[in-house]
Amino acid sequence: MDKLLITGGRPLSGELRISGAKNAALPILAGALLSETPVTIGNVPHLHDITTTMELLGRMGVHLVVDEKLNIEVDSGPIENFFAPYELVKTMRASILVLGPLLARFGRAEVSLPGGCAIGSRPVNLHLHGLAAMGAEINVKNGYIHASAKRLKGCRLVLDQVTVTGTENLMMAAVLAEGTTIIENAAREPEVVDLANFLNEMGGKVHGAGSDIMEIEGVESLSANGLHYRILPDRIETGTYLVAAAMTGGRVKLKNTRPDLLDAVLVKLREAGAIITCTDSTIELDMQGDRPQAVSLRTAPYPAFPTDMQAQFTAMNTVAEGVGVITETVFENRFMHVQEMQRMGADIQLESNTAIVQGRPNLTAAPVMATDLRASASLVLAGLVAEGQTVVDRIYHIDRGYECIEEKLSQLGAEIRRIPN
Amino acid sequence: MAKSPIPFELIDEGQGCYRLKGELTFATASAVLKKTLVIFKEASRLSFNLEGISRVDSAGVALLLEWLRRAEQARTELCYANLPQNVKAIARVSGIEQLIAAGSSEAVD
Repeated sequence: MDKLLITGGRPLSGELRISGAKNAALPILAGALLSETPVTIGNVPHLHDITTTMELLGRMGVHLVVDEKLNIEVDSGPIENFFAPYELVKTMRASILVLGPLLARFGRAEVSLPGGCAIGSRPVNLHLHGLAAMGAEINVKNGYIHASAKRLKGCRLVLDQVTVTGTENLMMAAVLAEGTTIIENAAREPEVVDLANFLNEMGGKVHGAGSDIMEIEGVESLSANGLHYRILPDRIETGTYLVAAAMTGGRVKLKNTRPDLLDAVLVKLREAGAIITCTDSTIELDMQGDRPQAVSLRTAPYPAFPTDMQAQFTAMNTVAEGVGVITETVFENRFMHVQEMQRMGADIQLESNTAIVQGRPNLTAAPVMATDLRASASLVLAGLVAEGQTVVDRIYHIDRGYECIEEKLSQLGAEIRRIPN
Repeated sequence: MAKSPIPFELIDEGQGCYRLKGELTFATASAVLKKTLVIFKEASRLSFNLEGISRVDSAGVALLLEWLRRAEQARTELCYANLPQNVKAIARVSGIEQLIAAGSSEAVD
């Protein structure tokens, strides 16, 4: 497995272009199944999960062409089967997102259950209950979801808990259902809004995206009609590089991003002492050479502080001045980075779902191992401020969510390189 | 107004070396494959210089793989020189950079 070798101690400085959001691209690629005509999707990040999604769609018979600018044209006209196999779904839970569109447009789908997840319990029962309420016949057998419906019917769905992929799957199912569907306690994340915008540009009637109550009027069909849709920027990638700059006492400018998508993160960075200046599409952060101040935070669904930024802020607090309390309310096992940071000399006490972090002037380099996407990013950030050379193993986790991380950090002056297996 | 595709040309530079010019895209890939099949039967060693390729999409990358496959079937050694940068990017996003690297005379990042 590839590793990253990081020599700490350099303040980050320079400009960087942010990639498109993976968590928007994946449902939108699945949503392309709903269109009767080809659709082109741009600003897609070059990540393994995108490749997996393309493989999944390709195996169904969907035609995909990647052009010279890495836009992806999806034509689901030639689709031959409606099967998402275990070997793909087990590598990418988001594969479940094909369930709603396949059922809505083609009346059938056979999708492997995703299996376990390292960071916590993420059952798909809410997806299945919602589809059943819309009239789908659902059988779970031999590890596969077998779903069929002549035509789904709109209804009122109240989600027991906020689920982003659940909201997305049900939204995509409802867009071609007969009648109107109301989704209450819907996820409000910007990526959900992006999917809704995409569906509406193809003729869908999705209202209320971004609020906790969505109303979807079913239509007979969707057609892209030459649509070229641009994925929104990745707010978590943005936040990660901002934290990297804050931790190293640096100054960076991030382009092709959207500050309005990460208000809760920017508030905390300002609290940490960062000077932040924004335009519509850029964010500039300047620590003026200072060490960050420790911040306390509590993760929750959007628009509150995102759980996907918790590990990165935990890393920042390890070298900040003061004590920061990090409370994780979304995933029950999302502190696996803590033990690895402790190997680097971090002073962190864990109590149930709370990490109490006493900042220290330095960390010391150590070989550490990534366990999930955001934990691995936080270990890279820790490596940027540790004395010596940190080796981060199992970086296939990080490659799932960060496009060319070593190249981007090198662009900002970090000493980091990949050691291939 | 859409630009007309630049016609594909296969220029024989002798000793199994060919210089390719034009586009390798969804629009041209099938025709280009048909045009080039005959040369695999005639040579034990081939080199394709792609410096003159003006546009490549994923269909073009698929064609590069198909040429490698045909070469293997014909027991012909085939290598690519001057791979366009976006070939490497498309290969990476398609998860096939190792396959393309196997036929390239340069490293594929």
